Amino acid sequence: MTWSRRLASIAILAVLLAGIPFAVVVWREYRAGADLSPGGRVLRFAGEDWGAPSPFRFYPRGPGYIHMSLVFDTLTWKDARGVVGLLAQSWHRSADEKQYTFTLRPGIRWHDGSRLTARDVAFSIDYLKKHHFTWTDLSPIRSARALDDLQVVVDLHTAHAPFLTDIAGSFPVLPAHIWEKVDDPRQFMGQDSLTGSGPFRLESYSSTHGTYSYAANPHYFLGRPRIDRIQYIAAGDSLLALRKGEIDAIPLWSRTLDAVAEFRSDPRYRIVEGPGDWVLRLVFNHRHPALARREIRSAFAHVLDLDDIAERLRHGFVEPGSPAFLPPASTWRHPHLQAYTHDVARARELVEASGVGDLHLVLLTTPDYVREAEVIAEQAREIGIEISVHSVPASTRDAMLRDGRFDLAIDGHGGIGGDPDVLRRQFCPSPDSEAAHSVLNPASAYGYTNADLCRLGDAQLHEVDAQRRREIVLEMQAILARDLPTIALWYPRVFFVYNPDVLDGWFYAPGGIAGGIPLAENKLVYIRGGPLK
Amino acid sequence: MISKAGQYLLVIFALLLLNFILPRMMPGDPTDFLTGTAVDAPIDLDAESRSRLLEYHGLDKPLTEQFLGYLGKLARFDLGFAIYYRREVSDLLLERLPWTLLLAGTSFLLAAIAGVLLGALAAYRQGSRLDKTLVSSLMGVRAMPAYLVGMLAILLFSIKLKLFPTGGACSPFASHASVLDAGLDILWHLALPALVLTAEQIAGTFLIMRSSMVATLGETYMLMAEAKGLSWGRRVFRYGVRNAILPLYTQLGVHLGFLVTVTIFTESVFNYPGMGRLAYEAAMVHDYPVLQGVFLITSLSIVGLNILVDCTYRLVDPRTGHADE
Repeated sequence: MTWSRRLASIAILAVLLAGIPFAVVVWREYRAGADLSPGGRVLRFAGEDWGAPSPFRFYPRGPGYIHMSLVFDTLTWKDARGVVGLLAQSWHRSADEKQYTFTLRPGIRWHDGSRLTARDVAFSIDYLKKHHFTWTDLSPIRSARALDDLQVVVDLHTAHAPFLTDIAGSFPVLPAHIWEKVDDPRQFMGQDSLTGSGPFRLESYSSTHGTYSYAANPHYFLGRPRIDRIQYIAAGDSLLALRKGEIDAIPLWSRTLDAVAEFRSDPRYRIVEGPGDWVLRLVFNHRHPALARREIRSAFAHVLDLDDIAERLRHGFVEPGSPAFLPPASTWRHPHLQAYTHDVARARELVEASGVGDLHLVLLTTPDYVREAEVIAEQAREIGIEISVHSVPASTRDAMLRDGRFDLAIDGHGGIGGDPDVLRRQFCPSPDSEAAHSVLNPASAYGYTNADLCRLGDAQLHEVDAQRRREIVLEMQAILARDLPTIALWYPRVFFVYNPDVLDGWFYAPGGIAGGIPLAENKLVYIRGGPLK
Repeated sequence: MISKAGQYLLVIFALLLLNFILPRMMPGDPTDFLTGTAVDAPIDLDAESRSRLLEYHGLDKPLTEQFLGYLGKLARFDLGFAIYYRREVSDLLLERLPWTLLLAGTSFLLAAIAGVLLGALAAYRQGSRLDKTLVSSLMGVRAMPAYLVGMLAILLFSIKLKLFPTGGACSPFASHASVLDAGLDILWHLALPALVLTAEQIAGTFLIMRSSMVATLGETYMLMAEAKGLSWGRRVFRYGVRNAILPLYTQLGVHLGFLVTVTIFTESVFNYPGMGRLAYEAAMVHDYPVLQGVFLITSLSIVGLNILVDCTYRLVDPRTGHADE
């Protein structure tokens, strides 16, 4: 082979390897170039693909729902103080607490200009139930019917306390004139699937790049948004992108908390602190003969120095765990429960009183929480309990938890800052085990049962009177604090850092958005720069 | 030849079987990631909805039936519907594949050229300070994880020197005036991840080339070339590199496997929208059809490359042809 032929071969190889893909992506991007009208106030976030913001196509995570909520509305929503009407101007609950009548705001229009009526609401409930919309559990609803253009009646099977927050404030209202023709909503794509009534319209979305551009809906029923455009752009590292001015706001939690101090001292940014509706906890296998004994679990509660774990391992960016289980910011948390004091002598007495001999346990964890596991093992050794730490990937840990193949485990999850029904769903098994364990973790307290707790759990679910319900929830927490089916280790603190020159007035809704999403990207901020007045 | 084709068919069948089985061996199932079970989201799903979901995606059937269905769909070039991503898998892959080919192809070419040249140079100057510096520095980069090299590159070239963007593959929402504009924008975004991926690959090519070249330089024909008074360049490139490069050619298939692994990390660090990042994300949410699609393309590429190397080795090194005959 001559040199010229050899060079030609290399050139052909280069074209095949890099030239053709280059030509393909350049042509694609050139043709896809967004034709966005310039100017206006633009708010930029770090982008990631959360699916198309359509009810059956967003990825089932908090940020995916937040995207969808820009385009679609719900009957109720939450501002900084709690539940407010969104599509619904007002509502009335029947005396037997099994029926809600919603009155819609007049003059609401879909993005395509047609009117939004009570028929759309009734249709949405039927349609989402029929097609098993996974985000919202609509099973408590028996039926829905429109009385006229503005009034819709929703009948429940039984009284359901979290109805306004977890159902009416969660399911999206769909335009009946579009969706009634759709047989398989999971395959429904195209512009029609993105016609909502929300404050923004999707003008550009790239699943590949994780970018979104939303344009303000000038005819929104609460008024024209203060932001003309929201853009989610691809950024390798959101912290670096914020420092570089490529984006205007980011949530900070987990490993990025160390950056809070830096942004606090920078006058270009402001920070709001969120509720951190998340818990890291020590899970006991109650089928283990020793761990089934309350004395042993109490010994763990006394020997673990939760303040030390919070300070030493998480540098104070977490709140120490509480036997009440619910997070510090929850309005439902028991205010007077006594924490288990760090008392090694008391813990030792409890172990001795239990009559359990030498105890060797395996503590299951994931790589993120090995330090917590090591400290727990170190502190438990003080009372003669030997613990081996076993670190596995999260999905392996989840499967082992589900199957009960563990002694002790460290597990973290969210969803605890919203409705207090989370206590029932976490700690009360039911005949429908899938539903019973469907909240965040299938093995909240493997093998633990307490009939009194579950009786109270059912009672609070159907108790609509807030004061009476609160009393029941406090009683449940007292039982949990006594039984110690699990030990909450810490609750994280979350922060939202933003550039106030672009938009101010950020807040975290109490209990989270749409059933408990603890994010500050609440669409009301974009409309009025703050909570609804 | 027929027996070789049979072997490859067997390999491809084994790959299809593995592609199907491996994702399903992960603990948990895809519906866990659509519901509250494994998701940090306030989602409830009753047993009926869950079973309807499994049925919708065909996951309620016995494994053998699922596998036969998978093969049947493949025969119709249907890669299935993504469970988590909620789209046709083929659409997802077609969007991502060119980006990975661009990144991996560019870095492969750059690493091959640089590795061959530096390897030849180091072998020629074996034992010199240059040789030692090249060996230690390239091995040092290779020993560092790709994500760490990527982060350091972002800090230096993007944050400190402000030469390149921190991530992404093109400017978001840009309306390019011309194709050239679009091309330059894509190259600007490509530079840093390609550089990191190149740096991770050079050491492998360099070391093989260096050791092969050292052996070649000891051959008598190299001594003869020097005795004939041929120039340095002619000796090294015409007689040395030409013969020393052959082991690199046989290593292409193995190298592609390594390249796939490093690409996953590089794409993740730079938020580059390729198949590597897609594979990583799909594994996190147990999206079987997407994982099957990515594995299928990757494994077929490696098998295809091995077939290509097998078939063309005679052309590259005619001596092997004579041996067969």
